[in-house]
Amino acid sequence: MRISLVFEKLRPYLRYLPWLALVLGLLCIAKLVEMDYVVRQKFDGQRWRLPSAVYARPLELYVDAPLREEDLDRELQELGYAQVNRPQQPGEYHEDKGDYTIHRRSFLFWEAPEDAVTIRVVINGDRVTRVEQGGTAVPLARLEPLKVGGIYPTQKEDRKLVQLKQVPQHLIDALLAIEDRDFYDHWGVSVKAVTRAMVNNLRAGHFVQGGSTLTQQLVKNFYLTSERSLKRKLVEAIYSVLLELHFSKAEILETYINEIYLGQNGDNAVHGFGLASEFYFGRPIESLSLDQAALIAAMANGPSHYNPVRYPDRCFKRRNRVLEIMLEQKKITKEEYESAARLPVKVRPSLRWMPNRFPAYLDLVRRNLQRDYEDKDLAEEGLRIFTAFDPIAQWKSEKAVSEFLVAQGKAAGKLQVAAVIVSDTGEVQAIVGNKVPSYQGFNRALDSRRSIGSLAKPAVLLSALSDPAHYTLSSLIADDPIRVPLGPGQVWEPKNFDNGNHGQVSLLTMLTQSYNQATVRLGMQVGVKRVRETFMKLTGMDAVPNVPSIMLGSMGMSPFEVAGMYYTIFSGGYRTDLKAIRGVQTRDGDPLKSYATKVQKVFDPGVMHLLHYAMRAVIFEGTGRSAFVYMPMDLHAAGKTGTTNEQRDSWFAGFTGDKLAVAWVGNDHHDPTNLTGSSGGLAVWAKIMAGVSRKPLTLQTPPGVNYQWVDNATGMLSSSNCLGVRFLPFVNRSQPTELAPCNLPDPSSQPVPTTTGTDDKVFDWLRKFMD
Amino acid sequence: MEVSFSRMRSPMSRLTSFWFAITASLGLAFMGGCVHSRDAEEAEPEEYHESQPLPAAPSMLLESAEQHFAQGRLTMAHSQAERVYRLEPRNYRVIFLLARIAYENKSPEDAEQWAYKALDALQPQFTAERRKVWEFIATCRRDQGQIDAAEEALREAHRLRKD
Repeated sequence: MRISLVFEKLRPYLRYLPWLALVLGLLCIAKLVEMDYVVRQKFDGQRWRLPSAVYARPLELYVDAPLREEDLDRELQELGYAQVNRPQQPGEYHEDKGDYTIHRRSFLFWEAPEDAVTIRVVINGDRVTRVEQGGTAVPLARLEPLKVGGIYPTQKEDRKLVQLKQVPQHLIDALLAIEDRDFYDHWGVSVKAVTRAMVNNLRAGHFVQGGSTLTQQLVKNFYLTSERSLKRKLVEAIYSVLLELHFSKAEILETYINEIYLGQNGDNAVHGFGLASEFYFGRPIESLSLDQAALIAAMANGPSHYNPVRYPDRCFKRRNRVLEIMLEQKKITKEEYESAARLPVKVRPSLRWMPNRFPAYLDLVRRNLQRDYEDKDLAEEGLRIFTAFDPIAQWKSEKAVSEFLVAQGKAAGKLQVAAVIVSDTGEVQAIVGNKVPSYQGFNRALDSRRSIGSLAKPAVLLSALSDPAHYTLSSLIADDPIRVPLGPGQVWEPKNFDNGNHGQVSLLTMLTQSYNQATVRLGMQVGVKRVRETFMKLTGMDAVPNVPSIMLGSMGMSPFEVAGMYYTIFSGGYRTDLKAIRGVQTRDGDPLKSYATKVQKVFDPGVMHLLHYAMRAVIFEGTGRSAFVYMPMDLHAAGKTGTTNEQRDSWFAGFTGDKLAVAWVGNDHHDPTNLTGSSGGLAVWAKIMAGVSRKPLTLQTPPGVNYQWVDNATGMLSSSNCLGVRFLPFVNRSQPTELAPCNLPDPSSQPVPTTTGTDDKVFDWLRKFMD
Repeated sequence: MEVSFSRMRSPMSRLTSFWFAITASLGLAFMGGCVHSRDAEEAEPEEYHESQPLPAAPSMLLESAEQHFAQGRLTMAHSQAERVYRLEPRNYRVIFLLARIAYENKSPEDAEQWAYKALDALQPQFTAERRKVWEFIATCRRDQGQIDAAEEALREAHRLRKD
């Protein structure tokens, strides 16, 4: 009765029903069109935001290359190579008493792609003595570079795109076996799979299996959220059908293989089988073995639940379940099943491939890139960035810093350390920005601008030596109290570190003993303007204060800027912008930009030779003498200590024949450290050099420079037979012309050696004699 | 006051007079001569770096770089030349190749600077090479509109021709 009443009431409106249906139908169609558009747009366009990959330098292997076994071991380990008895696949190596057989992976190098190849390297001591490639002796081979980090978008996803043809068939079979065995038969949604899942869940009494197809899983990851609702399921099903309508099974499968989340690498999500195979097994996807393929497919369902490091037993069962299904589906033989199922779950020895493990260096790379690229492009275009980063130099530097801090005991708590290591071509090879090198915050190597103290003195000496008519290394200058008027009522009275006066000293002694008074006197004679110009030429910076205190390093500079200044000295008078990046490619390997080395001649090589001589004397007989406590005596070097007021900063900057390093020790609050340049910066520097440098500094005399014996006390010409003399270089015939009276050795008295860099040799001689 | 004196005395004083007597008796004159000859050895100018035969690895790369350069493939020539430069940063041939590549890349300023570096890597007696570099510098300067400086470089090249 009531129903008929309701019907009667609605009767006038029933004539609108077809219209209502039409509107609803149109709305549905509009929604479908919109969903169709969304599906196609995302699939047709760029599917992923690919972070840029930052690569270290490739390790060059050639006869006589400086390389120790421990360093090659570490490099291979970090590259994810597995040590085996017989290397058969890329990513494996064998070592026997310095004889390495390495099955190198293929890699798209900066210059050209190189296929996977077997390289044999023999190391004897600290040198490579033989290199073979593919069984033939070759002059040169190289390892692929270590990926040292990336530049990521806000959502930290990382992946390595692969094409379906690169994926081994057994990986596809394993994936389809465990995730979607009807993949090639359904239209995005599989009623069979849903039914099978329901039956299995009912049998188990709880949820054990889902009925989603690969297409549905892809849709969920690609277009939808992880919300669990009926509406979301419905939308997922519609999207899946649309996707299948527009795209082939191969395209969908390839996208799934690149999209699937497979674990976590530090802060970054590991997506896709391409990256996962490198992350977990250290090998390209093409060379995954059956058990590895089954394991990686097993993880697709829940990479946290099936984390092979945390839950190896659980993974073992799941992997073998995958293998069982493959056997049931006749995708593998019984023998293949048995041999694969027997193998333990094994991933890389150490999943240390943490992104951005070297934050100080990556910081420099990022800053350099920001001059040429938009942040968005860096984070999303998958650029390949090739750098000069040398992981071996970085590890050695970090070790040196760590050892130094341990030696400081409790005092280390307040200390901070920064260091920059540069090659002889001006490439930045390593940076330590914090005493905890993995710290991602304030980068002291780049941003901590501190007074450089006596590191400025070579610039004062260089200003003088650039005027050879008036100044030579043997010129005398008074190291007595000096008053420098600064302005009305202001006078600057610099003191020596020992508060003493040393009378007339040669310019050489002034530098080796780091006398402040003599340096300021010399600087004032030469002129603040010229000293400032020298600084500007050495550093390439315009912002050098026009004040006398620059002679004692009052201006703030970062360790990186000091490295730039000292590189000009190291290179014999050629300034260059220190380089971290060698080149940038697109994700496909097309070059975008090559960062060419540029040089600019700013000083005469003859004058620089004199400065090298003096800075070498700093290490042999001056304030840098304690370097040889930490590094071998035959690693000749040149450098300068730097200590600022109240020992707030302890610096050392110097170079050997192949490396320049700058080390700073201090603290962020500018408190006194009780360290001098010798006990702080120098110790770090020398430890670093002992680890990274293989070539002693040799003084090569350029044209226009000649050596003469000079009397130390008077600076006048002398002879090798006299006492108290040394053999000094002069430019442009600027040597003294007057002869000093000759003090001949007295045979009855104790001999007094007098020259630079020889006293320890005398001791060696004596010790040998006594032994 | 030379600090090296006092630094020597301190460790020396740690030796016993017995050993001093022995060393002294062995002949101080000899020892003095030894010290001086060591001094000379320590500071003696070494042969100035110049184009010595390259080891196999950089030699192979340099040949490849030169081939690329000769065939006009500047990008490849440059990347190979930089690779050699990293292995042999003081070699005249590679430095001068970098100069020529910079010039072909329309950068005569950079080319000129590399050319100076190439000159510094050569001993004075390599006159033919030095002349070639000075002529190259003249070209770079002329391209930068520095006509007088270019003339000066040519005069330097001419002087070497006469030598």
